[in-house]
Amino acid sequence: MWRYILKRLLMIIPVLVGVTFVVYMILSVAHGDPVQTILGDKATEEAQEQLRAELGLDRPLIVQYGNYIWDALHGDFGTSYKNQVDVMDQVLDRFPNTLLIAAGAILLSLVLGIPVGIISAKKQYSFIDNASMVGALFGVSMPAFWMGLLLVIVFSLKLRLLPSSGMNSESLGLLLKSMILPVIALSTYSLAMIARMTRSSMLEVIRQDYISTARSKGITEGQVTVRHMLRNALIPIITAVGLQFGTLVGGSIMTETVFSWPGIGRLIVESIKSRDIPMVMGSVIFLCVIFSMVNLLVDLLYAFVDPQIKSQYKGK
Amino acid sequence: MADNDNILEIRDLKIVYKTQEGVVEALNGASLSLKRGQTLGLVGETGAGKTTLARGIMGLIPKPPGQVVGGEIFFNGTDLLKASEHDMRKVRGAQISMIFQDPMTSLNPVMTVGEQIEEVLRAHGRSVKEAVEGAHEMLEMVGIPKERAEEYPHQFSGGMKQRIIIAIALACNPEFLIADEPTTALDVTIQYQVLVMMQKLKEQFNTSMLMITHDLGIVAQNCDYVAIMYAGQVVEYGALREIFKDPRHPYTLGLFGSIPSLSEDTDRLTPIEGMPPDPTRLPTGCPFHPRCQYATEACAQWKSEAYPVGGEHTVRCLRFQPAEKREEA
Repeated sequence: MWRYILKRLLMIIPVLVGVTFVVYMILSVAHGDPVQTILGDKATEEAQEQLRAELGLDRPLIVQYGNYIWDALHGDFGTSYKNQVDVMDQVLDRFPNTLLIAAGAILLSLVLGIPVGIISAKKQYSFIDNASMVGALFGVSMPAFWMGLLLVIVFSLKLRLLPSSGMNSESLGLLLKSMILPVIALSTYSLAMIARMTRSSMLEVIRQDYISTARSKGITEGQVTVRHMLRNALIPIITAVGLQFGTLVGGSIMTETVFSWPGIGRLIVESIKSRDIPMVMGSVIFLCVIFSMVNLLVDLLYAFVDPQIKSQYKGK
Repeated sequence: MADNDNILEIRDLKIVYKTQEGVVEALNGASLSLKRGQTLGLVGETGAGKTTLARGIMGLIPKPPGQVVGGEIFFNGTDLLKASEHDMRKVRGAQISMIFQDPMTSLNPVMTVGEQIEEVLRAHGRSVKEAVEGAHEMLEMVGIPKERAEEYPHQFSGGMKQRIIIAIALACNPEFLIADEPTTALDVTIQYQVLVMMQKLKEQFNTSMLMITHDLGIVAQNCDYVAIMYAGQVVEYGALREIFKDPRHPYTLGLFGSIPSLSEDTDRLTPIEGMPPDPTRLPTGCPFHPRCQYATEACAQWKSEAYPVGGEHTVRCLRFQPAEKREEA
C-alpha cells in the first residue's frame, strides 16, 4: 500500500514537468511583453532593457525555463511581475476561496445527484426518471458561465434576493449568501453528471443475482437499496466524483470570472491578461498538484469500497 | 382450506410478464403440493416457469413487468398471495429461504461473508452478538472455518460460495427451503459434496424442500416427490417411484427417453421433437400437443386439467381423462 502511494506520488513529477513546460512555452511565445506591462508604454528603451535583463527575459527560452524550474525546486516560485508579492503567498491566499465554492459544489452535487440517480434507476422509465434525466441532460450541456449569467439575471436583477458578484466575508451569513449563486453555477455540470452516473451504475447493479439473495433474506427495500445496490454502484460513482472535484477546482475559472469570486481561477485569468508569468506558473503548478492528489485519493478510496481492489494493493 | 399435512400447496397459479413483445405467460395454472419434511423435485426445461414458481412463492416476482394474475399459494395454511409486503418480509429468510442458481453472482461482492450471514439473522430479530455467533456457527456447519467470516466472496471457490449461500438460507432455521438449481453451476464432484451436505442439513433441521433442477439424476437421488413442468404448467406430479417407474405424460416419457442408455449401444440421442413453445403465443388446449406423438384434434380444444391415475399420481393429459368425464363432454 505505502509503496503504491509512493509510486503514485513520484509519478506526479513527470506530469508537473510536462505541464509547466507547455504552459511556460505558451506564455512566453504569446503576444505581449511583460516588461511593457510592468513599466507602461512610456518607459525608455534603456529602462526596458535593464528590467528585461533583471528578470532574465533576455536569455534563451529554454534557459529561462530551466532557471524557473531550478528556483521552484528550491521552493522559490518567484514574485509577481505586477505587484511584487510572493507568488506562493498569493496562491495560498486565494486557494481557500476556490476550495470553498468547489467543496460547496461537490457537496451539493452529491447530496442531490446521488438520490436523484437512485430514484431514477429504481423507477426506470417512469415520469420522474424521464424528467430528471432530461434535466440532467440540460445540466451537462449548459456551460457554467451561461448558467451563472442566467442565475444572476433571475436571482440578482429580477428577484433581488442574492448578490450578483463578489465574496462577502463580513459574517458567515453574508458569506454563505454570496456563495449560493457561484456554487449552483459551478455544480450544475457535476450534479447532472453524478445523477446520470448514479442512475446507470445503479441500473447495472439492480438486476444482479445478489440483489435477489438480499431480498430473499427478508430485509427492507431500503436496506436492499443502500447496503446492496448503492455500495456496489458506488465504485464508478467515486471515479466520477473524483474527476469532477479536480475539474471543479481547475474549472472554476469561468464561474469565478462571472461572479468576480477572488479564487485561484480568477487569479490565473488576471495574471494571463497582465503577462504575469510567475503568477500563472505558480497557480498552474499548484492546481496540478491538487488535481493529482485528488486522483490519488480517489484511487485509494476504491480500496475501501471494493475489497477486490484492496487485496490487489496488498504486498505492493 | 389447505390440507394440514401440506406445508405448501399451490393452486392454479398464474403469473405473467408484460413485455414489449407481448404478454409472457410464465405460469398458467400451475398446481402442486408438498408434505412437511419432504423434498419435491421440480423438473422442466429452461423457460418452463420453474424459477418463476419459486420467486412467486417468495413474493419476489419483479413488478413490473411481472404480475400474479391468479391462484393461491398456501404456506402452513395461509395464502401468501394475500399477505402484505410487511408480513412477507417476516416469512422470507425466516420461514422460507431460497438458494439461487449461480453461486458466483449470488453473493454481494463488497460485503464479507460473515456480514451477509449476519444480515439475515439481524433481519429476524437476533442481537448483533447473536448474529455474529450464529454466522460463525453456520459457517462451521457448512464446513468453512469461522475465521474466514471476515473474508470477501472473491476469496472463495464456487463450491464454497454455494455453501455460504446455503449457510445464509439455513441461518434462521426455515421450515421450507427452495433450491433453484443449486448445483447447475458447479463441477460434478462439487455437486455431489453440496448435495450430500444439503441432504444432511435438511434432515438435521427437518426442513421441507423444493428442489428445482433439470437433472433427473439429482431428482432420483434426493427427492420424495416429483413435479414435471412444461410451458408454465405442472404436467405430471407424483411420488418419486410413481414418476420414475410409471411415467404417463408424453412429455415425461420424452424426457426419460432422451437420457442415453449406458447398457445399449446408441449412436444418436433421442430428443423430444420440436421446440418449446413461444411463451407469448402458447398453443391452444394442451401446450404440448404440437410436439406430442399421441396428439389428436381434441387436444387443441381440451381445457387443461389434471387427472388422477392412482395413488398421488396426477397427469395433465387428455389420454388419461376418466371415462365418465369423456361421456359428459
